[in-house]
Amino acid sequence: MASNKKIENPKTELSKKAAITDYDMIHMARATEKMICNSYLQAMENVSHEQLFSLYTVMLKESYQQQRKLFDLQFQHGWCSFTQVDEQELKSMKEQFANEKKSLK
Amino acid sequence: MEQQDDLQQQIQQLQQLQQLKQLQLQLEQMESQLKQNREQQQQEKKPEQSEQPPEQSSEKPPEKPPEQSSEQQTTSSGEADSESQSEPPASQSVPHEKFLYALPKVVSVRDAAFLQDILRSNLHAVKQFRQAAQNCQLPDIKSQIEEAGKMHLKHVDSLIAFIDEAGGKG
Repeated sequence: MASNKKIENPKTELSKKAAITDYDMIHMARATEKMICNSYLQAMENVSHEQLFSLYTVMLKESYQQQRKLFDLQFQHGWCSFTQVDEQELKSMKEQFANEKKSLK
Repeated sequence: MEQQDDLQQQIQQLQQLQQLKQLQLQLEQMESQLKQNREQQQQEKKPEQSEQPPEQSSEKPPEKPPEQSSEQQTTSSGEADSESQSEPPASQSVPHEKFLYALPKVVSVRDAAFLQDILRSNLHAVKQFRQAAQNCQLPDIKSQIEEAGKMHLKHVDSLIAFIDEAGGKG
């Protein structure tokens, strides 16, 4: 099956002298971005001041874009991979939910 | 006949006014009692509040708030009693005299706590990313992490500017 193939780039080799490599750095940076995005979201849900809400919205978007760029870099260096889902599985999932939606009416 | 009708109406109005005064007196008594109770920090209300008979006194209350009188004219004395018991705490918990239709443009206590949290984590991220960028081997990762650090520094600046501009003001 060609659909179950892993999608990834060749891994970038790093020097093994350092205890903390670039791989760890970028992972840590992404984790920090995610954590900050989470705190923006929580604050947005409870904020009263309208201006502060829009400020949070802008900052949340920027942080997610930054996180996305880091994710891109991780992928470029072959430090993360994706596996495409089986086409048959997707079809059956779609059918199941289409049926459930029909039963609503 | 018309004169009699007018007289009866006037009498009714006078009676209503008297009832109002009595109710206001009751209200004041109850409010004072409630304050006393709070001072003593007794959670259970005293039973005297509801059982105390209204004082039939000729002295007039100094001020007559228009909102209360309009409400009480429509309601009978029994209903007004039950309302008046719930009124004093409600009036104390609502500081705004006018009704607000939208979320207030105020930095609440909760918002301040979130702001503090966000500012701290942003500053932490700036420090962390600077340190990380220094120790990076690959140039693309280094520049990206530096960019992220600058972005968080910018966020800190804009949050501080917001606090300066609208902090605490209504």
